[in-house]
Amino acid sequence: MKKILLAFVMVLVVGAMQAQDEVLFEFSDGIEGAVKQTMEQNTSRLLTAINRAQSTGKDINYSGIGIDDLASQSIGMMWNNVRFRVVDDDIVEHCLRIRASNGRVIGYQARNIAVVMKPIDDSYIGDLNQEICINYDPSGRISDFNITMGLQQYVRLMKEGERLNDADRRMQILHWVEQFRNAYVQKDINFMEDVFSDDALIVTGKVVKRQHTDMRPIAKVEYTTQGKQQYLNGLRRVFRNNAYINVKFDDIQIVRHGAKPNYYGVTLKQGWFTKNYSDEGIVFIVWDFTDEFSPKIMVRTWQPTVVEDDDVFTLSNFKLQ
Amino acid sequence: MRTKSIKKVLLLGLSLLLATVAVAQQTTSKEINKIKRSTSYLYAEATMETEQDAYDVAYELLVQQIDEYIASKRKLSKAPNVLVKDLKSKSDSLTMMRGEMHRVFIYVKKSDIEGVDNFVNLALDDGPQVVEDAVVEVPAEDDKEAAETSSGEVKEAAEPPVAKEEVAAEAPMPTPVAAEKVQNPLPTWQQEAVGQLLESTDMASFRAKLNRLKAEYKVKRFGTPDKCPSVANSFWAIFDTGGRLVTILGPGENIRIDYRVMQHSSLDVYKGRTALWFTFAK
Repeated sequence: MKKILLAFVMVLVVGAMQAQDEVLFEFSDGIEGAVKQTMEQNTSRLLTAINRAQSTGKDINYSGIGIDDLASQSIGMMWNNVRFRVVDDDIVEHCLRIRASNGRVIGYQARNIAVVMKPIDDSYIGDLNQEICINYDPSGRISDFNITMGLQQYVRLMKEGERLNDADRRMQILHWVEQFRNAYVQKDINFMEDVFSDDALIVTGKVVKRQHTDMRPIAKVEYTTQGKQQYLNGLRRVFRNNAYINVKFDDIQIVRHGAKPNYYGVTLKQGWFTKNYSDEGIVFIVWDFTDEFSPKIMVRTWQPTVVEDDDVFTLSNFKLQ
Repeated sequence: MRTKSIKKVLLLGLSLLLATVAVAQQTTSKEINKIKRSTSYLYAEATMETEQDAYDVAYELLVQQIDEYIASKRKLSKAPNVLVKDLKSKSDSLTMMRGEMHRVFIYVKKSDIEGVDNFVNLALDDGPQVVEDAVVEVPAEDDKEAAETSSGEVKEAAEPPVAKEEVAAEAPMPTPVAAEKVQNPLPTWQQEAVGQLLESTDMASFRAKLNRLKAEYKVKRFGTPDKCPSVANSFWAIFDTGGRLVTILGPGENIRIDYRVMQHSSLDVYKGRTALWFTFAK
């Protein structure tokens, strides 16, 4: 009798634990019909699988989920560094449309899905409360998965995009910038190989002298330039030597090139955190969106935050061929 | 024995309190989802470290939602830059904690924004603004020397945004020194650039535009007052205490042109205000 009771209690406990992992996801607007249903089903299953894997300490089981290899690999790389769990069990969100420059819908996006980080060890440096965004292809299959940047920046950039009538392009840029940031966090050297143009120019500034005058401290900055492979070799070493890397992008500004409309200059404040080292700098990236499905980074510069507003690199500092 | 009983009662009380908080959170969450599922509302939400930040961002998002909704309505498509009148009183909000973060959910009934009579220019009701940048107060013309030699005192932008009415009550906008309209002396491309800059609502977007104009070789230099090499030869953008752009003043020793109202004014009128300077390329 005792054994039966114990078995019954066990079944109840397991059932309750599984129910605790269950997530129901729904779109309130922005999409209708069969694709909506497919996206909702894929998202609910994926978020439930993430919670289940976190509860049981196992890997995420993607069976029955319509998800691209690239997206599951992206989650896997994140999972190897830090585990996380979806906060809400019932989620309703707007469906955002991602459009190509000709206005055609090339995918969809869900944002604002709250997750709480469950670090594996004390090497984790970063906020425990984060938000993720999920991208879908036009058929509703999950095509990408990223931790999002601050909502304030998103709002500001989209507002600016509405005024300049390039909101769709800004959404694409933001998505690529989010992927670029996540590639550092996930130590995804393959993404870096793909995203940097073969003839990319990488400029890094270093403060060599600070002169204190009566007026204000003046910093002297020296710059070194690297090619793509030289930069990536250094990055490989950094990835190898650090258990966890957290990169934050803030104060993002997007400027379109006046004469070359497919080139965009993105300026942002980058925070770099590892267990033994951290710094803050201004990163300027020139994106070439000639192929909007596979944009390339032509220039990436890093400057210490002590540089004058006026000396921060902009598109005007580079002659683009 | 008695201590044990007190401990038990305290523990029970604490458990009940936690349970009540959890139930309240769940109820709010359910209410939010109910509104989201309803087709009668437009909504937006944000989760941030402070409730005020979350409210401000959610408000901005709601304004975007309303803009998109209006644009999608054919009968109103000719008025894309409109916003429901008195949005703050028409909208409602729900707040809850999410871990240590504050989640604010704002919603408005679609029926409250469908009457054309309800619409006014966005500029007349632009809602609360976040002061995003650390700013330096504008120097008076008399203080030019000091501005050029001092390191400049950076004022932390930690004050919470204040309602528009409060700003007006505490710090009335200065009036121009002369009421006559003046001719615009700038070449056309500079007039266009100033026009674009005047459309900025806050300092962050103003800086973004300056950066863009610099990339287009139109703006040569810009910065905070403590770094201005020549106060008289620079344009000055003036911001109010809420971080909103008030106007742009042209170059000049004492008399400058206020490009918002195209009347004469002076930098002294805005003494103590936050500001940015810039110069155009030749």
